[in-house]
Amino acid sequence: MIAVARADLRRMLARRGLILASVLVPVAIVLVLAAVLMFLHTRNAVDHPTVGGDSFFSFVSLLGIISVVFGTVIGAIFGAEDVASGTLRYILLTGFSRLRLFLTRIPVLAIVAIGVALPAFVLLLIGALILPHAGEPSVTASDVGRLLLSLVLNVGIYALIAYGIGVAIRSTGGAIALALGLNLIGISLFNLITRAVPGVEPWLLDSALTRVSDGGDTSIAITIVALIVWPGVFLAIGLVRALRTEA
Amino acid sequence: MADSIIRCEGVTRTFGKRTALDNVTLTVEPGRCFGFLGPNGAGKTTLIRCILGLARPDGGRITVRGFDIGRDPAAALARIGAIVEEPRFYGYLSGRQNLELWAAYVGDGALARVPALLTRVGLDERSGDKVSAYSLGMRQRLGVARALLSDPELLVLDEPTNGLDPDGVAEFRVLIRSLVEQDGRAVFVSSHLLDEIEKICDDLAIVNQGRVITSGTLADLLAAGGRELTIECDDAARAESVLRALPTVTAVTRSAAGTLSVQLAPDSPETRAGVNRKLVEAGLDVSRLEPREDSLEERYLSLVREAGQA
Repeated sequence: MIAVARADLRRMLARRGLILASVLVPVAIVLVLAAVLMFLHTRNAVDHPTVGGDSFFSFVSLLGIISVVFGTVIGAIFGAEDVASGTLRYILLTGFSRLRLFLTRIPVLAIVAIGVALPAFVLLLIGALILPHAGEPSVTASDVGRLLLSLVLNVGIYALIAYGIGVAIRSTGGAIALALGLNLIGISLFNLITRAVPGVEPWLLDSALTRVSDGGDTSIAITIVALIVWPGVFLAIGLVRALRTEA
Repeated sequence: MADSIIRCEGVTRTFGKRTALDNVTLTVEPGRCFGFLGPNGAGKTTLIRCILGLARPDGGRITVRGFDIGRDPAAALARIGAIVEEPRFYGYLSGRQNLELWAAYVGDGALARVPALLTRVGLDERSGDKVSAYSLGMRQRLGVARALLSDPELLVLDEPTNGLDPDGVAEFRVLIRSLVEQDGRAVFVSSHLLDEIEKICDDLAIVNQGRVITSGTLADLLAAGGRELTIECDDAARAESVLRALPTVTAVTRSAAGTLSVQLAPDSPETRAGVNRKLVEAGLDVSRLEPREDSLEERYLSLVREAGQA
């Protein structure tokens, strides 16, 4: 399984357009942000005394949204591609089982989706540390750890949800559209509606992810369960489809 | 018969009200090229998908290499290579990268076989090009290379020459025969191209509307067809009446030039020498007696029409 995972990782990375876009767009956004803030600071340092520091690092939430978009696209493609392109049957003809295939790809997807988000995060951190930040609190190791974990969980979970949808939908374009719609609007909308039901809020994906990024008084155990169950449901749907579909 | 590499017994598959496979029974022997011949929509691809475990039959049983494909697919597929419908690859990877990826799935030393396979199918010089830039013929050859990664005892090829130009078809034919004759592999090839089947196959089955209407060796199938003799003699009219009196003759036609075409019954024991003897005994001087067997096309059309009428 390790040889297959390694080969599949190489295959995903060979999609240069997708991978480069997933890395470079967030990086470009960080660079543009830094350039704009530096420009304002240079023009008027009194009104704009700070470029880096904690306030610059807080753009990690914007980075999170962009990375979730790319993670979703990668996950949906990863899930749907083989059925859509007709390569699944040739994989199955090697005797490699559907279950092993489905499971092998989960860590590969996580590595790719999270990996492409990291360069922009590192750049943002470097910017926060080296750009002028007079009077701003410095970025602490604890902030870095918490926000990195939050980014990893956001990207990883939404990529896995998209993967489950991709396997279930079997059409790359349809899977991307549905997964993006669900990840960017659907789940938040569902969370918003069901939030009113007493006792439900801690179990919602948004709440659990916010608990990781911003802290709060929700039980850690509930948060962990929510973070496992949400992608788990979509992966289960994908797995059922993967085991039943004709290649 | 216990050693058959493929054995289908009473295989049935339906899609809604349409019966794609109707009680299909056939066997494929090791080291032979088996042609599965039938018109488009006859059920060829459906049977191939069932043989390879990609679709489940509604009834019947399929064993591959002695293993039930439904119960033990991994063992059945362990040494099988296939092209189903058309060879599909990751277009953004090169031919070599594609084979290396599939070699990881196959395991068992398949990676080491990649360079030799690329050479064998004549793609070593283009192996670094992306598959999206390959012609259909190149993709077919790469498909064969992928099918050979597991060093298979059996190759299953679904309409392998579809869309190939004449050169590509000729190259493919040589490749398939080499797999049978040099390597001793069994090849199961489906096609609606009679000429191709006739040139590459040792055995065949003809399928129509989901039913196998005949199967056996190619030689036996052709021999079982109607046999025709072309005869020229000194008195065509008298020869015609002599021949019409023979119970094994089904039809006699006489051309304006006096040449006779004599149709013998398919299962007739009558030989060319026997017909000649009858004419000579009648006092006729035979100057030409030439046999002509049905071509596969004639046999195929005749069998499919008979099956349609039945």
